[in-house]
Amino acid sequence: MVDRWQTKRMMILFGVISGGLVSLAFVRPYEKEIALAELVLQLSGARGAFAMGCTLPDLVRFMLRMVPNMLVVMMLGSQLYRHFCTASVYVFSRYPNRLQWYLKSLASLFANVCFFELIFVTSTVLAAMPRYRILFSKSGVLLLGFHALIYTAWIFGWVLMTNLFAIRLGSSRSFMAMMTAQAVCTATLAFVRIFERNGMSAEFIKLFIEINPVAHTVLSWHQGAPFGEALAHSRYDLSPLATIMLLIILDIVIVLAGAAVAGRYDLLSENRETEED
Amino acid sequence: MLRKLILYQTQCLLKQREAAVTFLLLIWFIIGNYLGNVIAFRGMDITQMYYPMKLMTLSYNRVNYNADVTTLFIMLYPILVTLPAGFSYVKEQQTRTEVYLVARLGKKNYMRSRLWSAFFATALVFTVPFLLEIILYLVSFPMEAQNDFSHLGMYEPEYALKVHRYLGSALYLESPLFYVAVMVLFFGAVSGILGMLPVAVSQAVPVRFRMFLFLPDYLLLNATSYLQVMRKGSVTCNWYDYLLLFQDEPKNIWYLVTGIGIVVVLTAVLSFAGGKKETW
Repeated sequence: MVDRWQTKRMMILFGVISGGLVSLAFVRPYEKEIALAELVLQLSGARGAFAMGCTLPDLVRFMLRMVPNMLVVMMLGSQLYRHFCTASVYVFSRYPNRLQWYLKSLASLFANVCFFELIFVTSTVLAAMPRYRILFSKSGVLLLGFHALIYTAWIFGWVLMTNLFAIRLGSSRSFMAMMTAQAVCTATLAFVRIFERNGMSAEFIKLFIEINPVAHTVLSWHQGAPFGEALAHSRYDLSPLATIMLLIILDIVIVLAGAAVAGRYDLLSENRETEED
Repeated sequence: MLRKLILYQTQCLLKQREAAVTFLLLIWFIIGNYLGNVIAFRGMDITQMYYPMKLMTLSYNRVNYNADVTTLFIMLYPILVTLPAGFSYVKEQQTRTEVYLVARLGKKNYMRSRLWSAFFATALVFTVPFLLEIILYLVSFPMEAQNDFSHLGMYEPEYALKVHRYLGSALYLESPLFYVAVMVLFFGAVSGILGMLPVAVSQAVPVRFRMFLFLPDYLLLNATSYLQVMRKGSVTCNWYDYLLLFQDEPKNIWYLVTGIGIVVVLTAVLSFAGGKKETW
């Protein structure tokens, strides 16, 4: 119980700090007022009213925006795994049904991620309020909800994968693998510029973008109902619905894989944290 | 005694899987970049060819042509720099090898040697691949080629201004090749200093999960980039603007000195605090 509240307190503190910092660093309209939709787009790489590009400065800015997410992955990346390190005898002897334990832990993990995202988004908007006049609109609120939804699904997937890989590899290697995977996905977006320079077809470029999971977290690359005008300057016309479906399917696959891993790996004999090479 | 100990521990660190993985990853960066360059520039007339050292992985100049390797490198470096030696102390602490070593060597010697070996192991892992890369480019590309990816003429004032903004531009004007070699060594040394920080943190603070040792360097390096995004000055404070080669943003050398100074002082204080407390 104490541990649970400690995590919640940490999520509040970190959500407020990172939300404030991200707001100061990335919410930068050209005038003294900003539409809520534009503010949300700037949280995922857009500059002013312009969609994110695939140049080095844009990708590095996007990577910087993702730093709070990676820190959450680091903080919650041992929430499940820690039970396999030291308390496994205690935990698993009281939960003969390992799947039940896994689902309960998963619910707690998901609640923590949702909690962080809620605090983060709220503090980002609140930190922008004293600096700019925010113009609220229905499409802006919808876009904010869409942002919260896809980033919750995104962070949850990475946090769970970090926990699961840690059971096999240890926490440091698992985190390194997750960071590398995300960095490779982001860096491959730099190829888009080469494709565009070499006159590759728009269909090919869109397909290349669509198969890259990182691209789905860039809101300014989306277009379609129900956001209308809010996504008028989309760069690659990704479908918001397809993004939600993709992230949910990926999360379901990770959850199912996790169920298999949690049932298979055991106790202190598998502890990677105190193992020498 | 201390010198022998550092040498032995550095050798041990270099044999560990983490150091090998980092080294191979850097070699993979270099080979990928090299093959891309060979395919792109083979058969190009020497008058149009770019200065070979500006094609290197650590060259910022090449982002005008292609940013994929540089983007990946900038994203991974804050994590990679911890990998070769950052967990060396905590591993021995968790496996209780520390008790045996402290009893044999004395706590002060043991703590010091752990820090210095982390410096040398990290510096070697981050220097050797790029020194090999210099040789690779010396052999493969014509050194007479002089063009710059900015496509500015060598005698244009704007180009001269950009060159004067390089860190160590005096060296570059003396000999570009010497400049590259010195900057690679400087890059290795800074990586070594950053490699000491997680070791010092683990000496001062009990760390249960090794993953948290990525935090000090990751936060510190990304903090400079956040600072750069938030402030309005024209002088850069981004870590990679000071560490990458041929970087032509306006710089302030005192930012670099202060940054390195903060890391060194922090490392010394943390290690000193760690040496004072009883760990078992």
